[in-house]
Amino acid sequence: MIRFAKPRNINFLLTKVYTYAFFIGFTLIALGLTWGIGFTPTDSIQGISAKIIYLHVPSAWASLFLFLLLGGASFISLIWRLPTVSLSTLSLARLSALFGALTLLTGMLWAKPMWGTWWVWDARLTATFIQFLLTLAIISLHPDHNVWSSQRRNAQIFSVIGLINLPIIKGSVIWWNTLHQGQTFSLTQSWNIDWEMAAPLFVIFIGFLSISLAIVSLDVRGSILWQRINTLRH
Amino acid sequence: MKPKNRRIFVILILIILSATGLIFTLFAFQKYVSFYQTPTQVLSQKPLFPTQKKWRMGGYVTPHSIQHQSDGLLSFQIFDQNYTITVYYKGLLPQLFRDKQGVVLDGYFQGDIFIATRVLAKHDEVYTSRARSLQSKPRNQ
Repeated sequence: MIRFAKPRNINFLLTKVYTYAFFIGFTLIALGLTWGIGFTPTDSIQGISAKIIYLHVPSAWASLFLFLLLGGASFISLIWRLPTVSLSTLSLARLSALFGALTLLTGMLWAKPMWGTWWVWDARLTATFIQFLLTLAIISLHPDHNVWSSQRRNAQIFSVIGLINLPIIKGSVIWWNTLHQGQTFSLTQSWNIDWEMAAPLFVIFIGFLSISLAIVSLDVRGSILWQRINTLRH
Repeated sequence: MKPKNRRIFVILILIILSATGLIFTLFAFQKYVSFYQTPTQVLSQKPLFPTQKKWRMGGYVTPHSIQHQSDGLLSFQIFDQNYTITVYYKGLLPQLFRDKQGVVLDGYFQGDIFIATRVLAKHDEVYTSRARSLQSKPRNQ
C-alpha cells in the first residue's frame, strides 16, 4: 500500500534516535535550567524576575524553529511525496503549539511584574499569538496516521503558507513600536547580553529540540506501525 | 508541465499571493500596528483632535522629575529627542518605573499636562549583571 523505502530499517533507526535523543534532551534541559537559574549572574535592572528568560526564550526559539521544520516538511511532502516526511507534520505542529503555549505563558508571567500588565496587543505579542492559533488550526486539520488524505494535504498547504508569519514575528520589534523589548540576539550586530547569561539559553534550546526529535521519531514510528496493521487488516 | 512541477508552481503562487496581500494589509494599517506614539508624533497631531482624545504615548522618564504630590498623586516628565511632557498619574506603578526608564502611557491631555490613566514600563533588550545606566537617549523612531 505505501512504499516506505526500507520500513524495517527506518523502524530500527527511529527507535534508536528516540532513545538517545530523549536521554540527551532531558540531560541538557536539566543542566541548562540548573545552570541558568542557579549559577548565572542576575540582571542588574530587572533582578530575579528576568530568570524566567531561561524558559521563555528557548521555548520561543523552539516553537518558531519547529514551525520552520513543519513548513519545510510540508513542502517536501507536497512536492516529492515522501511518506516518512509526511507522517512527521502532525507531530511537528503539536510540538510547535506546545512550545508556543509555553512561550505565551512564561511571557505573561514575566510581563506582569516588569511591564505592569499580563498582556497587551502589541505587534510582537499579537504575531506570536496568531502563530499559536495557526498551529492549533493545523493540528485540527490533520487526521491521525493517514498519509495521503486530502485533509493532511490541506493542513500541509496551510503550514507552508503559515511560514509567512515567521519573519513578521522576527521583524515586529524592529518595524513597529512595541511594548516588547527589541532584539537581544542579532546575526549582524553584537549581542546585548552577558556571555554567562546567554550560554544556558542555547543549552536549553538544544535540549528542547532534542526532546522534540525524540517525540517526532516516536510518532512517525507509531504511524508506520499503524499503517502496517491497517494494511494487514484489509 | 509535469505534475511535480505543477505542484511546485501552485504552492509558490499561493505563498507569493498571501505574502503580498499581508504586506499590503500591514502597510495600510501601519498606524494601528504600532503600540504607541512618541511625544513628537503625539504633539504634531494634538491640535487636530478634541481634548478628550485618548492617546497612547511612549517615552523615557526624565531624571529627577518624579515627585509625589498630595493624595497619592504622582507627577513626572517623559521625553523623547524633541519634547518633554509633564504627566500626572494616580494609581499602581510597575516595578521598573524609575528615572530614564522607557514607559508607555494611556491617557489624555488637560492643556499641556498629560493625565495618565495607565502606566506600563518598557524594559530594554540589554541583559547584564554589571551596573549600568538606562537608555538616556531615545532611539529615533
